[in-house]
Amino acid sequence: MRDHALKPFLKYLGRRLFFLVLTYFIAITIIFILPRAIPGNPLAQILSRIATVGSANPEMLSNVQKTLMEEFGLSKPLYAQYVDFITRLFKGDFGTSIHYYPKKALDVIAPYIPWTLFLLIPATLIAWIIGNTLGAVAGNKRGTWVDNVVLNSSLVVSQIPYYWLGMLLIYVFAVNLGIFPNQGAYSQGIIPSFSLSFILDVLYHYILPFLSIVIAAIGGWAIGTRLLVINELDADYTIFAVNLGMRDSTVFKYVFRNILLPQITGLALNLGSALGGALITELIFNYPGTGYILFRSLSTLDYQLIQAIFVILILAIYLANFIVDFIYAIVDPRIRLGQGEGS
Amino acid sequence: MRGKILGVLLGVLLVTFLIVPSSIAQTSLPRNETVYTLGALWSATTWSLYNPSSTYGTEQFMYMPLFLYSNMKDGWLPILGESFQAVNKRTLRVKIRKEAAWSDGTPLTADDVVFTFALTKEVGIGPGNGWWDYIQSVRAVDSKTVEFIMRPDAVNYASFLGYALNTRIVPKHVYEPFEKKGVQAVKDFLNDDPAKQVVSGPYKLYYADPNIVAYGRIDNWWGKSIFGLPVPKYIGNIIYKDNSVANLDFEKGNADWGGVFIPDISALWKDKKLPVKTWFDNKPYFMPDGLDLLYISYYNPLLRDPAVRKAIAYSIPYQEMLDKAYFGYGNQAHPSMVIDDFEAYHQYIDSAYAKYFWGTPNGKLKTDLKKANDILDKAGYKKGRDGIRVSPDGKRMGPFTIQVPSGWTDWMMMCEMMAANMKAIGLDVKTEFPDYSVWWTRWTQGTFDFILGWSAGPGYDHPWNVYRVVLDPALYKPFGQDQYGNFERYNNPEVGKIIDKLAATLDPKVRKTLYYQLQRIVYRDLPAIPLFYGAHWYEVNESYWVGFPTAKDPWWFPSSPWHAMALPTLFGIAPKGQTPKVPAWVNPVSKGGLLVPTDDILSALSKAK
Repeated sequence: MRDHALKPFLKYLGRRLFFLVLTYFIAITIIFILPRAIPGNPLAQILSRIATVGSANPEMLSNVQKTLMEEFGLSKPLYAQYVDFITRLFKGDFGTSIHYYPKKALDVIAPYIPWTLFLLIPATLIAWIIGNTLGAVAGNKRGTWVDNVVLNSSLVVSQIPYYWLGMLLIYVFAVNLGIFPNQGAYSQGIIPSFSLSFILDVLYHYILPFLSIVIAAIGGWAIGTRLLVINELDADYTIFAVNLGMRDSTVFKYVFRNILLPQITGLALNLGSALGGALITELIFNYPGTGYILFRSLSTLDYQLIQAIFVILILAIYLANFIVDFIYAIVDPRIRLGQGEGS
Repeated sequence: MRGKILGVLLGVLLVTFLIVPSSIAQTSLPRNETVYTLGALWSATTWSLYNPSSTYGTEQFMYMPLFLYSNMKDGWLPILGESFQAVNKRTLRVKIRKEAAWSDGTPLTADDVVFTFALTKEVGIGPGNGWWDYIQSVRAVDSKTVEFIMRPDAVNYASFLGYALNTRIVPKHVYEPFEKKGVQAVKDFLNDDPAKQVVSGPYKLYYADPNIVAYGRIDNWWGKSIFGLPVPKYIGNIIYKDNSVANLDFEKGNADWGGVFIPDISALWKDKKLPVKTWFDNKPYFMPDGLDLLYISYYNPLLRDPAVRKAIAYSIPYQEMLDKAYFGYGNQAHPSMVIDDFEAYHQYIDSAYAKYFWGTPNGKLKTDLKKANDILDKAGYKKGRDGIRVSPDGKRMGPFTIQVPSGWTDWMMMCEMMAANMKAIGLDVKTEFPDYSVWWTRWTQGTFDFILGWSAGPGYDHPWNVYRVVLDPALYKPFGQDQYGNFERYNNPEVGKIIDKLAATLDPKVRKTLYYQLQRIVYRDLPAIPLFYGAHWYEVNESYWVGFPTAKDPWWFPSSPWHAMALPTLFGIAPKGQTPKVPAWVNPVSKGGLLVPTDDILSALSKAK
């Protein structure tokens, strides 16, 4: 019997995995092609940096350009570069960054990852919890003043661009009131150490960027949850339960469990893409995250760095996706039993 | 359920706290001992010079040249070197200071110099890259004397001096083991461990992470007895992610010494009453960094006619552009391509001819749309029904594009203004703002109509350096091939001959005549149109440090912190409350200092056998 239940489940997971791997390759191929389709010179930033410091010397720039073209294999035909990229990838080698030469792309990204996760994971979770709670309450009290307040303010807040909110927070709390710092992950001049004062300093710098992300994200979650709750409240099983005379709180518990499923998907995807950082938030708060590195790599057309970031980022999103699929299969018997045999 | 989520949340917080402070070091840089720079460092790479662009500070503070060139006084400051001797017209010997030593105590010798030059040639990147085009040999005469011989087939005094004297020297005993492993090992050397860094300058790396790169002073620096020590114990460089964040920090006094574009800088002291200074109190506020031009490529046949170019030159709203788009941060350029902000270069401008040719009292172009229209009318460009002219052979004059990189707001506005004026004289010109790398590709490949770009700046080889970058047919490449220089693809062998003769002469009179000749050709053909002098960004906030050079106290060039001339600035400033003391050695030899005028070196070479 156990065998019977497990087989479709494994088949389902196997198929998901196969498609994930396939789409993953398509995705990284696109990531390989796209930056190269831009008719720009990836060495432009480096060359002009050399040209502007001290005297510009045409021979020297030609020499550097020639050396670097060979170094990065940019003079090779595209297919050779692609084969190179894939074979290196299998060896776990993401290549050398152009802009941060001779650092390995992975070494460039690594120091930024903890900062970004530190900013985005708590912010995403908190926004998710608050947003869902608000939305559920509002949906449950449909038509009352609570619903009105939550719905209207959520609509407004969810439409605010999060970077604008960030700028607003900087303007009010850092520039005008001077309560919070305007930039950075910790105070200028402090050198990171594992001490209470450093941790407090980091938290102090953390508040504004954290708030800007949380506030902007709450609205979206709340609106979504509210709608789901309303739908579920109209469902047959709810009406049946109410008619049976169940307590409101018990009915709500059933409803809440049902609406959680799609919201968990959303959360997982959000956490998966957290590695990409909050690009503009990181820029305006001068926060050392992967969003900033992504921005740098794109604006300097650093092929290898762009590739490395996206290879990791897509992997994280796909992993999150897969975990969701996995959880779904466990939580939802319809998927576990039904789809295995079907299409 | 909620309890679980909270638990997970706390767990995540805890874990990230454990990961984030990955390194454990001393806690802070004292503010009154640290100078913070702005706009110098946007990313950290390596602290080795065998890199296309090492981290800011490596060249400025860690590795020293034999002589350091100073723009404003047109002289050479002997740092590692002590004196020079012209053996003959092509041979220069430099005596290295007996005190000169590496930070690990190893004496700095002629072997290090010879090794550095050889390694650069071997690696293909590194200090003095390209020296072999001008220098035939670098040889150690004895342990403290090095000899440079110029190539007989490429006589170019400015480049010879530049390469021989200004090249940063690296320690042979550190690099030799890498060299033995191969070129790649040299290139991969990050030199990022402060404990292992071996330098010749008064600073070395103190701490670096994604937020900051800090340099710390070497208190027993070998040059202490000659130069003293630089005053700040630390140089802090916040890695800003964005210009506006950086500018706000400067305003708040968190950065002391800047080299960035700050819009409307005078408001900081006029309205906000901040202790902020630039070189001049009034317009143009900054010294020039170089000549910026409107390049008109020969790519599009419709733009090859000198008459069209001349009409465009008259249509450009020079002064208005500077006032409205550039906050007055520069002066209108002289059409001769010589930077006339510096008194020393006036001798190279044929002023009488400029006045005669352009019909103005100062010899500079004056915006005159009527005249521009007249020129085009006379040349046979008739206006069509849409107001756009048609060339004599019947082709519509446009659409053309004028381009600068996206995000360069001041230059973007200038382009809009130029496009509008060109439209007013019947040329269909639109602006286009592509990504930097795309713009660069078009510029260096010559595949554009109009591009606003830079050229070269003041220096021991000015104005030769500008003529060469803008006009030299030796740099000519077909459209679509990369070339830094001759962007518009002007191909005039006569100009090439003059440029080569200029490089090879030591006779000031001959030099002057040759420059005059060039200017006649430039006015006739207008390969590119000089617009204005781009500012050498230099702004200081004296909330914590005082004594930075200004026009009122011009003891040193107002060097951006990122410039090669930055280091001496740090010897003459003081923490607020103390009196800054200008080091005597920044003065020319004639005034009791160490600075050797370029002319002294050139005349020594011309007098030698």
